[in-house]
Amino acid sequence: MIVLAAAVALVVLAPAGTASAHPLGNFTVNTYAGVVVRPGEVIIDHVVDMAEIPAFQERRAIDLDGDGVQTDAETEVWRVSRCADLAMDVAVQVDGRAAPLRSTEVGAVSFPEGSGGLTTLRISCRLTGSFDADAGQATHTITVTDSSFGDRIGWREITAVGDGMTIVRSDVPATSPSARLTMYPPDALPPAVREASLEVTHGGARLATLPGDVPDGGTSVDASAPDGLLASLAGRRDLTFPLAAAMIAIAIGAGALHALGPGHGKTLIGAYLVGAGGTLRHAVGVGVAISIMHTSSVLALGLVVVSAERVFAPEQVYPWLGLASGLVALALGSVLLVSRLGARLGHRARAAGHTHDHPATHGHRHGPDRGHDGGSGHTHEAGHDHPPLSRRGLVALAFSGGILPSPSALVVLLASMSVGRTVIGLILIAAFSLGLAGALIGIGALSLRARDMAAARISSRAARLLPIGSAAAIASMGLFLTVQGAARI
Amino acid sequence: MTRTRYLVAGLLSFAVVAAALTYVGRSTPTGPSRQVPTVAAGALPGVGVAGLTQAPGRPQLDEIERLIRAFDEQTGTTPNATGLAFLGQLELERARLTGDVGSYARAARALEQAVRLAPGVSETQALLASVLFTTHDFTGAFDLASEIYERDGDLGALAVRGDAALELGRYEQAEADYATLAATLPGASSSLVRLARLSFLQGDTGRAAVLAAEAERAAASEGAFGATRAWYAAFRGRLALDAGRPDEAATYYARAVGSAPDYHVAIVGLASARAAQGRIAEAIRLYERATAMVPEPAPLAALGDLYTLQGDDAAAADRYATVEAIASLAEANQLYDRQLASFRADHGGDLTDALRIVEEELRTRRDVYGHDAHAWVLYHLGRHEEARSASDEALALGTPDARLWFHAGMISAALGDDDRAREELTRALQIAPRFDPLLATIAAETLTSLGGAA
Repeated sequence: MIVLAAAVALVVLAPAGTASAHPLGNFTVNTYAGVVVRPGEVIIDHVVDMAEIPAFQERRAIDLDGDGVQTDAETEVWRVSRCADLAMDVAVQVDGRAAPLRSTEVGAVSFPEGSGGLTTLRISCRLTGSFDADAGQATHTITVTDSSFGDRIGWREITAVGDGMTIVRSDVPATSPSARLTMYPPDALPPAVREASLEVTHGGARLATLPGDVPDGGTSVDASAPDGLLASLAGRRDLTFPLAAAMIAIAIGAGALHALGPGHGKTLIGAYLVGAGGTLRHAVGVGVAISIMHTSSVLALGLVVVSAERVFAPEQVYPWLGLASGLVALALGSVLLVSRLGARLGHRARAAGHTHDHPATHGHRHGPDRGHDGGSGHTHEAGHDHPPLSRRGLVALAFSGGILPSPSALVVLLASMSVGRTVIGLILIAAFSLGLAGALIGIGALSLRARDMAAARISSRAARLLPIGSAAAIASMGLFLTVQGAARI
Repeated sequence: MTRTRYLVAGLLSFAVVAAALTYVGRSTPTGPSRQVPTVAAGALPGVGVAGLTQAPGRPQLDEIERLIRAFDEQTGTTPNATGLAFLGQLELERARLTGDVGSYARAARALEQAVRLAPGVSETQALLASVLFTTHDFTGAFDLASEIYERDGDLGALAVRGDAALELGRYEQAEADYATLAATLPGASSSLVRLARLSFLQGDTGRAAVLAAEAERAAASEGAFGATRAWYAAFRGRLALDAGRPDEAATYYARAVGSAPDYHVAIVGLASARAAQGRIAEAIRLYERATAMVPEPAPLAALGDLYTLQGDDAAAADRYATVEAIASLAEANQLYDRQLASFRADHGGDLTDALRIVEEELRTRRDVYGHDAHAWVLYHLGRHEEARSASDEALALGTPDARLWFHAGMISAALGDDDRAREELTRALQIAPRFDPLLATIAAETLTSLGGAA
């Protein structure tokens, strides 16, 4: 319970996506070598994480023509040659014989924000070396030495797993305590493991994916404190029932808290439901719609990030999504405003002419062919029960409220994928959306309750003006979001 | 359904999902296999060399880190004052070798815990004062050291107080403390080297050299090794270099590097001696090694200057840009204030900011080098009169440092005081003809243009 509360507190207190100094010091170069032993092959998933100063120096080296601009072409060239250089700095020996390494795959490179306006640098490479796997020989002795960046201080880590071979003895662990240099424990002396020696035998379980197959994907979202908690839990091998339950609870809580943060159209929901005379059922519908939209948005963005060949920073997309969200809200609000005003004025004219007694079916056709939300101008009629939410309005509201994926959710998904736990990531995202929906429904319900309580007290004139006021609120909210989104681009 | 049933249903589904999660978590991890663009292996020159020679490595640092981890574990399970104090000392040693501020923080934590466990042990508290000193909190170090010394008479604290007083420019206090220290521990390396430093500042280079030599001998006989031993040799090297004897300086610095191959201070010292000897290529190689270990503004700037001398402007620009990058990292600024201010003065950076830095420092730290940095920045800002007064303060003790006299000479020239300028520039070049790869030439040229003989 305390853990949960603390975890939730972490989620609340730590803002997502803020730039902070490299946790290990700004002139460190940190390396990770994930060794995978296959029959006849040694594969090394090598990650380098440079702090601000070495990253600065490296970036100057990337800029080949020295024009101060780092073009994609220059980055490509540098990526390839960097991995080739790294292949020369890592040495593998099998049974005393050297197994030369080649850079076979060049992973993503990213430049996460650091402090002082500088960035850090992260690159991953895959190095492969082959050896003569004599099946007649019972065990093989393998030593891996990573002497890259020998003069620089920093975190030096090696892990080793077998893929079709079994590791009988190893002086390095199988899983990375830093999750491939994405999470550094604070206040401890960094490990300086530059050499690993293993004994392997033939035969063993195959890995479904190689570590690093779903690389960092250039995510420059700050993966430290709160999301790191969920992501690191997701990667644990020894997942017990209470731990799994705690994770789901944390994810639900995180989703609920995210709903309470800026965006996601809490105001929109409240205004819409109040103005359209909705009931709790409608609140549920809206909450669920937004939640589904948000989940799709997270999954879509996650998919794009993962399948992008170049460095893709999700943060680049956010301003555009924010703008889209604002525009839709503005459109929705304007349409509502116009239709309600029109209905109001029309109603006034009609009221002047004839009685209020009109059949419930008076021109209340709803559906996508009608541009406005039918009959909202008549909400002051007591007992006049009609569904105020048109499908179009619902879609607009869901889009506007759910289009912006939560960075925390995105990070949890990507982190789970990068440690090969996609299913868990998806389950956590689902729990997140559940929490989100719940919180939004709650807000909707609260708004309705407030309206009901107020309805008894406000004058009928005010009650008539409420739908128009709410439409205006939606429109102005939309305008604000649009301007904000445009400013950020 | 009633509310209770809703609740039960919710809890049940929660439990089911959590169980499912556990099950999934136990099995082999799954995930999409992604087609990553493969670079044709043949196109790359990345063939591993058999019998790969490793990078030089850092044997002393590795050893210290091994000890740190051992003591960390030991004091983690059974916290004890002695172990923690030793852990603190080890972290301080590591900090000296690596410049890693994390080690300072860890040292402080270990020492504070040691003090809590054994409050009466003043040596541990004196170590805390020295942590403050090394992180350039001279006022804090002075106050804490004073408190400890006045209370317990601990000599370690006295030494720290004297050192802090020296850095703050309180020379009388420093002299008194060093005298007390020397009286209590007559032949100790720690008293001798401090007296040497003071003698140099006060202009007595002969005495300084003799005392420094004695200090190195004393350190050896006291059993000092590694970076501590190297420090004494490096100190002698610095004195020799300042006195214009680069060959002698190179011998001492080479000895320092031999005692501690990972010690960046020794490597930088040797590099500066080689540069003064005219062995530029070697100096560059040494500076490159040192700045790869600990990227500090002063050696980076010196490296840039050597590249400029060789005509490699691109490489020089790289180093200068790195200095500015260091400047933009807030924490670094505290330790490198003076280095950054001099860099900007000599290489045309943001002088207004440089002035702010030196004046901020002068509020507490009013030693001769602080005044000198102030003078030099003011000179480049064109405020020659103010530069004159600051430079006078810098030369108040008569310190025979070529740079101080060079700055004074340039200021006099700017003020039109040619006689004085000639005197000061001649003095600078007499002390150390090659005190700086680029500035020595400027000194000589200015002197010639004023009608003097370089």
